Amino acid sequence: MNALFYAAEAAVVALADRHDIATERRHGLKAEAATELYTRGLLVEDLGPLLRDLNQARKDVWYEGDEPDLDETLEEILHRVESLVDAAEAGS
Amino acid sequence: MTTGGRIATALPTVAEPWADDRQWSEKLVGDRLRADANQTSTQREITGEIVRRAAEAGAAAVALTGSTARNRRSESSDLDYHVVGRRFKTNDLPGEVDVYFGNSDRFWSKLREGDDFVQWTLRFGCILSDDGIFRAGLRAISVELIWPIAEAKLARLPDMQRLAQRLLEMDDRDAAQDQLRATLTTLARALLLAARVFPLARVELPEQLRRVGHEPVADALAETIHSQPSLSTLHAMLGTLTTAGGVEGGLERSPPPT
Repeated sequence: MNALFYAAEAAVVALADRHDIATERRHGLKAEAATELYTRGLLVEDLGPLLRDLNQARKDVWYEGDEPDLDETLEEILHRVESLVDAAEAGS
Repeated sequence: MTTGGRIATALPTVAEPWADDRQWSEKLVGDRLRADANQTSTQREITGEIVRRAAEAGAAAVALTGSTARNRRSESSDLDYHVVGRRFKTNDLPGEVDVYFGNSDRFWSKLREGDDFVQWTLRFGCILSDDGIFRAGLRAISVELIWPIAEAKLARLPDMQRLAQRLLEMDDRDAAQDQLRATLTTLARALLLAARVFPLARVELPEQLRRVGHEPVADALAETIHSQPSLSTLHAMLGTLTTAGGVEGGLERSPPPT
């Protein structure tokens, strides 16, 4: 789950930098950037909510020792993050 | 050395049993005023939405927690909440919103098993709604003299360190800093609890650590909160965790309870 979160964030930052969308090392801004990339037609789906869910889940794990509470399986999330990474790599 | 569980010595901060209804009402009014004063208008709107959704979901209680409740926000601060109730949608809210959900059973088990987050909410959070569970929790802390257990935090540290190490090896500076900050925060809280000092908001932890003699951890944590350290500096910080006494050594050096 951590790997998915950081991979998704890194891909969003790569795309956001390319299109002059600010992220400034804030998780919230990275999630908003993912939504902005979707709004501009640069991503096929809005991954902002997924980034927020993953961020929340990793905090629950690290700080509270809780099991992650996600609506999707990790495999389903993996497919979505892979698409995002592919999109970032395609333009690099 | 015993670092958690119930102790017979005096506890800081929580002294009142909260049996008096008028006193409790005054606390709730004070908490709401404090929450309003500590937030921007945008943050107040988000908080209002959280409270509204919590009520709609039948939540037992809601509190504003973290640095905002303490009026000690930093550049990396989230807007933190503790909701006693089932999870509801929050991923459509703007900004850095962090909501911890847990039902009533979870609240009591975490409190009695020595979790510090639940106690943090009760001691320093701004209670925004309560069906009685927060009030009962505060009474339990006072009457049962419950002190959080440091070991629960220590048990998570090796995994946290390993992830930080991997992120450093990948040269992902932002992610490595994020993970190191989380790791150092967890270590800081464990060290302070072992020294019988209740950890405050993250930005306050370095000063608390210095007062109990943990300067290297204090310095490293402060740098991850306020600066953007280079990869080599982050590598050195990881060394602070593992070689400068680290977790077990840090606990051994902690002063005895006062």
